[in-house]
Amino acid sequence: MIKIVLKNLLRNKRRSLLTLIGVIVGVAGIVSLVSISFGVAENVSEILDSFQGIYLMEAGAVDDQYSRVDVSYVDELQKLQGVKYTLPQIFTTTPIKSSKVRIPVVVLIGLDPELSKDYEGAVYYQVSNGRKLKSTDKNSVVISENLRKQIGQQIGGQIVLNNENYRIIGTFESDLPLFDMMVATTLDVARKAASIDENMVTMINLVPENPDDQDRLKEIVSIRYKGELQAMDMQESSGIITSFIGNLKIALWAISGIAGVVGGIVVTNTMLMSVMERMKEFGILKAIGWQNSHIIQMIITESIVLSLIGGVIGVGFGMGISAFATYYSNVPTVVTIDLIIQAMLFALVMGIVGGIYPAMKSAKMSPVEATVG
Amino acid sequence: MKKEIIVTKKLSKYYNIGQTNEVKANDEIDLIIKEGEFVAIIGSSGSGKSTLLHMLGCLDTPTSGQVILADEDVSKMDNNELAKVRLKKIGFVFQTFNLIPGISALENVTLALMPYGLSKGKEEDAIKFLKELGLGKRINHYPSRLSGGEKQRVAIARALINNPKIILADEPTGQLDSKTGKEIITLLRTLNKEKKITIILVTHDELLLPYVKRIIRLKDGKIIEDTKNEE
Ligand SMILES: Nc1ncnc2c1ncn2[C@@H]1O[C@H](COP(=O)(O)OP(=O)(O)OP(=O)(O)O)[C@@H](O)[C@H]1O
Ligand SMILES: [Mg+2]
Repeated sequence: MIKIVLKNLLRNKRRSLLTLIGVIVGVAGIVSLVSISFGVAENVSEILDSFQGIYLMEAGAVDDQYSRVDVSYVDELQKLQGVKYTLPQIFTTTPIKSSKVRIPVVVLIGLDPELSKDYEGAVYYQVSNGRKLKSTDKNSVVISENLRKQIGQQIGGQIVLNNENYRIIGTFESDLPLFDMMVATTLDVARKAASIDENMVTMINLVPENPDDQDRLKEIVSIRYKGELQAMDMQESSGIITSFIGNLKIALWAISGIAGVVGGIVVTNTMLMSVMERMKEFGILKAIGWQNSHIIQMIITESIVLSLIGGVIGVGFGMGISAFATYYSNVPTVVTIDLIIQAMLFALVMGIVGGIYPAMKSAKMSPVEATVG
Repeated sequence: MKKEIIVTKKLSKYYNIGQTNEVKANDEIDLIIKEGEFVAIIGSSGSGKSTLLHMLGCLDTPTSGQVILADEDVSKMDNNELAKVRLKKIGFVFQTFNLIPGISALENVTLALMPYGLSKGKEEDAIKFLKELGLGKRINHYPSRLSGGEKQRVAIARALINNPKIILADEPTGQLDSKTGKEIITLLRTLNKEKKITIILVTHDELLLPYVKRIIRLKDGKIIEDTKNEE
């Protein structure tokens, strides 16, 4: 049976090819869209994981760049029960220059090396080459490995922030785009570079001893410093982001659904054309002893074979598109076995649905009509 | 006394019943055909020859009356049962050959068996039949590359694949020149003689009549003449 099915498909190569393209586009679209969205989701949750604890900003500030918090809060906050680290930070963006290149925007982190010396929470505290920042450092920065490559400098080299020269003393590695282009330095240097007043930071990061204490701490701080500070945590943001990603996935599945319907129509349409053209043959097959069910089976098999071939090629293309996206945009993509299975099932359903209606039509052909004339 | 292989009782096929254009394509036909007969059905165009052949071959169902094939009443069978009768008992040969394009001569011959599972033995049979019919060099050719006579011989091989008791042929020489037509009729006659297959053939061609043993003439859906050829 499969042999005759293949021969039938080869008889009208152009039509089979057209159907294939329909299925391939649908399946490749689903695989690439979904894998990119999964990749983005995973990336975001990785970023969120590197922001631990509670972030305190100026009450009413819409963005950490515009928030100003007095460092004097640090001593008070450190005394709260259950607090492990109280880390004043400056989080902003800045242009940088080196002898060779100018980069208009990089992330600039200012931190207190003394307070954070045991803390390894975020990637910019860890240095893989060179050394970490010390409180005594006056004109030193640590930068991300990727940034170092982009500006073509070595450890010991110079960068310019706000018209002043700084020495690169170490680099850290990160595969997260957010930390990819980043300069970490002391609070004083960051203030100078970003024109922030003495004793001011953009936020204070409170890391609890025990993660379970986080909500309690957040509530205490919110009440005690009402009108002065606002407390945020990434778990909260992560809730928003997770639901956003949830919506994104629903939207992607909806797009995939539409792709599926379109693919189904393409398959139905070409199968219908193919069936209409071969009506006489079906009558002949009946005359020589085939039952209706045999013909229906043959047509649906043709449709499924086409869809599955299209599915395999489509998955290949989809993975290609994902790999391409990762290569050119650094957006990681995730092609899971589940996704491949789902895409193949999707192709299969397209084949079955696309085959059923045309197959039913074939049953109407009477052998008498087919064999005379 | 030879066995009766085809019996019809008041077999009728009416079209457009109750309308002004009602046609009695076959009208209460009583017919007995015995094993091994070679029968020609003749008559003017529209006399009901094809209609009768279709009902004998289970391609069509009667409006009323019965068709009994080898003691089995097929008049009330459903489509699937009819398909099995066609598969097992009957071989068809058509005026327009009705081969399937895009598959080889051999595949056309074995096609009927494909959904039921094609055995090696049957495939060998098919090759044997094609060779017997002089198509040894055409086994893997596609129908588009065969001449009319070759196509009809492939169709005959296809009809033979299940060793049917009956072969029904509707104007099998209608699209062939007279020489090739005679070859085909000779072939059918050989099958009738050597394999004892009952053959019923519809024809317009008076020249073929000497080859058959019995002639049935239809007019307006009724048998008006039924004669035996003495050999
Ligand atoms: N599907 C149909 N609907 C209505 N009338 C039909 C149908 N099929 C056949 N007929 C009519 O039945 C009659 C017998 O037709 P049939 O095909 O059996 O004739 P025939 O003897 O084979 O003719 P020919 O020699 O031209 O093949 C004709 O009058 C034909 O018009
Ligand atoms: Mg006819």
